[in-house]
Amino acid sequence: MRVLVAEDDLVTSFMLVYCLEQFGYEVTAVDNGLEALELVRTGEFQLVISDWSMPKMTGVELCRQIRNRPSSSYTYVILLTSHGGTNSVVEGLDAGADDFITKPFQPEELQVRLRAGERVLSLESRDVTIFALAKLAESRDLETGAHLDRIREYCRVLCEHLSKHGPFVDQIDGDFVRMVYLTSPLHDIGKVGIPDSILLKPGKLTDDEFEIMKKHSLIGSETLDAALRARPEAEYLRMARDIARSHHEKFDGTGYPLGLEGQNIPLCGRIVALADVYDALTTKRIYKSAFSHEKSRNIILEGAGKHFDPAIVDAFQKTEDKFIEIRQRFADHDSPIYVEPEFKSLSIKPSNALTNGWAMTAKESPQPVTN
Amino acid sequence: MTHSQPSNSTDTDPAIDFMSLLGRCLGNFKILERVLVTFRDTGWSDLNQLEAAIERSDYQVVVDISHRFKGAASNVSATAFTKLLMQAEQFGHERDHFELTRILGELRSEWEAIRRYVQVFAPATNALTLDSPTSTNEISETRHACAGC
Repeated sequence: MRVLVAEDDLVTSFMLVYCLEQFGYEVTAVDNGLEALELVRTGEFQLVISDWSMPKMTGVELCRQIRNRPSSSYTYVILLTSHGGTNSVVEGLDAGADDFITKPFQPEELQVRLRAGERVLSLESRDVTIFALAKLAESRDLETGAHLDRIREYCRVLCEHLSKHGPFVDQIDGDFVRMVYLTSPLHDIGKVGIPDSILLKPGKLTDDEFEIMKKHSLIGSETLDAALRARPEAEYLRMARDIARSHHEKFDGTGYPLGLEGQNIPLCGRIVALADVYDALTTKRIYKSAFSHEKSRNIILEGAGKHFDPAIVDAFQKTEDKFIEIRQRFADHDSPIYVEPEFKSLSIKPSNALTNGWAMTAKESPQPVTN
Repeated sequence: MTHSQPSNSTDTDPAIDFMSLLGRCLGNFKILERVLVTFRDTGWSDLNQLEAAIERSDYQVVVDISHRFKGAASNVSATAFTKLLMQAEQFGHERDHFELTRILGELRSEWEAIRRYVQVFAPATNALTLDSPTSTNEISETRHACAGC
């Protein structure tokens, strides 16, 4: 990784550069803040170690300038200083510094603080990657961007409840909650591999078309699995893959793509399954109007032990108020809340976008897909 | 700040904490030598500039030079010299010409101890004069070559 050192003292700069190179960094050194800023603007440096007092531009001003510039990526700034006291720290933090190293620096401390910076930057890369993938999926979906926001919020509510109550207390911790929140928007990433003629078809799908549509869960999971093989330590990719593959599985084993049953379905997939169906029911789609919370709730409750894990349905019941609140907060502009459609006829048929397991057309009530 | 005590260095204290500096150079003697020589060469200039600033009572420059010099001195583990520079910086803030003049004498004395120390630990570069630009440039070139500039 490249590190930019801004230090006007030749001795300190030389020692820093030597240590950083020994630690495996590719280092560029300049002796003033202005030149450092120019180099940051090239976008080649995400890690900057800057002296506090420098000619032309101080380290604090350099921080401010870095934070004020529009940038697609974060720059981690460590201020190197012999200043002491709370005021200096406050001034540095206020300017946007991420960390401090005091002179005389200790090589071990320098290395540890740089690693911390790298961790922060890698997290940013992760979030950006996920966001980009989610936007890609969204671009191929009939549903709106708010759908992804709602899904992740519903998931968060369920996870937080399940982390404190029920049989999954030992499996769900803060990391799990954050990870589900982060990766759940990728659940339909595989739709990028579904032909427009099927994905965007307003009417009902034929059996063959529905079979193709169902492949999106495998396309998504295989894509994410390939990424996971390249970075096996990336837990978020593992969870994203599991969610993409299993969010259409049903608790009774009648789901797809693998027909997994009960606890064999990854927990994250079981959680996203409920969130996804609730959202499909309560929002307007091209093939249906929005159901009221009450109607959707009843459908979810009826699905306990069949479509959904009963423990997760129980968590849903306990957190209903939050679901309603999220639904209102992230409402689609063109989708009125609490619409109770008038359904006069019932029929069971696969329709496009009904990969969540519920099939209906504009004048039909929802029925479980029985393919 | 109360008027300072004489320098903390004693006859038994080395001008530079060798082991501390060696640790900061990751155990590399060659790097340690280069650091000492660079400090000796740049420091000589800094000390002269500091003296000139004190003589013309330019306290802001006194503070600036003392501050920068202090950082370098602390990184080469010149402990006593660092403390003197801290005092110089403080007296600069207080615009105390009397104390600055006094501390300058102590800095000169401590600097001579550092210079002797460098001569002992960096014999390969003894031929270089104190204000020789050669060693500094060499360091600078090495630095930027290493940095891939």
